[in-house]
Amino acid sequence: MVEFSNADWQAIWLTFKLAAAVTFILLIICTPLAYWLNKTKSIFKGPLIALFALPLVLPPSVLGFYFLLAFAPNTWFSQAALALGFGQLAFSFTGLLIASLIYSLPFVLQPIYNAMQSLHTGSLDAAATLGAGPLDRFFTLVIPMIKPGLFTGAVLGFAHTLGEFGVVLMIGGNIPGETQLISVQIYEYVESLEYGKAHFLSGFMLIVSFIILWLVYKLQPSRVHE
Amino acid sequence: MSQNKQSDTTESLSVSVSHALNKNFKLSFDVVLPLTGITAISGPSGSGKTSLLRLIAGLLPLANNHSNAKVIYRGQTWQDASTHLACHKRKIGYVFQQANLFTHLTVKQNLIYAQKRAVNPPLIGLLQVCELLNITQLLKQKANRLSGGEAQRVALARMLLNSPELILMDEPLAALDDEHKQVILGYLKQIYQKFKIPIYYVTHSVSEISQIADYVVQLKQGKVINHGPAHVELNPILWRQKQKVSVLQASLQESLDKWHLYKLNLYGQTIYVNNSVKLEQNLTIRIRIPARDVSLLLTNATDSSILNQVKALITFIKPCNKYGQTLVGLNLQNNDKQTHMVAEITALSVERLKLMPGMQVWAQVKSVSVE
Repeated sequence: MVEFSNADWQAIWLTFKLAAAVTFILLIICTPLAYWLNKTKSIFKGPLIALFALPLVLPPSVLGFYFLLAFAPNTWFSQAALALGFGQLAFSFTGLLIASLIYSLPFVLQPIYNAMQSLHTGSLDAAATLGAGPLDRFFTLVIPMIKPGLFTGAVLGFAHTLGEFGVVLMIGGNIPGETQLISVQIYEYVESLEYGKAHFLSGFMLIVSFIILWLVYKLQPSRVHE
Repeated sequence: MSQNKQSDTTESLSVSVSHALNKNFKLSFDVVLPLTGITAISGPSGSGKTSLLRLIAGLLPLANNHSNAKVIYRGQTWQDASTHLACHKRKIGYVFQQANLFTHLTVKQNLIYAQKRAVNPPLIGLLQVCELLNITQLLKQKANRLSGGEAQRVALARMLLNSPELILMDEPLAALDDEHKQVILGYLKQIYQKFKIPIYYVTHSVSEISQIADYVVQLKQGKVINHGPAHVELNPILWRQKQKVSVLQASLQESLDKWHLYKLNLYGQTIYVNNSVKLEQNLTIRIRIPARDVSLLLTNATDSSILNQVKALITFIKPCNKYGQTLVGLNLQNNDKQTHMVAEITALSVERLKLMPGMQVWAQVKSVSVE
């Protein structure tokens, strides 16, 4: 009987920590961003939407390559991060987090943006005539009305970060407790022909992912009366 | 009205705009509207009625560089080249064509939403407004489960709980069937009589205008083609309809309970109406006379069963359709232009009686109803 090693447990904890942090931060970033994208008449709207969708189509290695360049210690990006107290980015959890935020952004942004597009503007006009200002309307109407979109975005963002591999390999390396995620750990086991351990961890991922998705679709708010 | 231009700005709303909303449609007018009574804004679809209302509400997005819009409410600038008071800061109530309820909330939560954001002292309490509009039984329901008529009543209640100073209504009855239209129209009249808040009411229904309007604004292709008090503007509109009627203002003189009649004073002459609708003293009563129910006599008949007979001067005679019917304009008071009604009679009768403009006749009115 093979059991999880300490390193395995650490990888599991790290993976879920990363996925949770990414989901949380992306929800906070993407909701106002999607709101703005929907309302703006700026000429930058088109290019920005395309830019935010890029991670959907680019191979992870391309993203990883650019992150690697940006995270090099002498770039302005790394200097700024250092100055802000985030420490070194390459081969660190913070670096992984930043990369994951960008990598998973379209998966959270798209469902929220779509939900905003089908937002009932009549209700928002009505609220304005009742004396509700823009922020008031955002929190009392927009957020509740786009709940299904927020939910889908959160699930996709979380699941996508759980399954991240290419970018991690490029910028994170394999430091236990810092950047060693489940996917990388499995890769390591396979490389060193420890198939038993790889099986165990892979099976765990399979079951956990399945349960999460299953629960999520079961709990999803009904869309019948939108 | 032009002679009102110099009148007190505290009781008026002035709107002037010259702005192309798109390539084919330009809003262009400059009007001063009263802030008393019910003002009907009418015109064919696409004439700019909704745009006018949205402009007043601050909901019309105008590109700042090409727009020239000015809205002055009781002397306070809501909008001009450099100002734009946001919609939520204008103390207006707006009832849309669709109810636009907040569908994720219950009816009660919708009402409380409006109540909490009211700036002025409350006009009416939550339970009272529910009673007034007959929605008490709906309070606990989700707002997306209501029928069209119910939703529109909730929207009215929500607007009232916000205690607005000016009520804007954009064809609030458009989505309803005839039965519900009459019910809600009744509520509107009650709302005005109860709260005396000015109402701007967009509609293209002539019957709605004749029932509730005190002031009429007519729009066509983005321009105001006519505006003035209903008793001046309304009849020319009504006379252009297929079923021609005249609406006149009268006052209650006496109640003849024995005969189930009211005796009304119509510009110094007497008219009797059935007392089935309760009338109040000192209120202007609007009576409705179908043109087909008016017949003309050259002398004062004393041997007729028809009670209502008024003296009038013929002002015009013109054919009203190609089937030989003729419309005769009748002035009930020599010195006033606003006391007109019409009779629809045959061309043969005109010929036989040798009717001419300027002649004095007696008009027998077979049916009169109170609006």
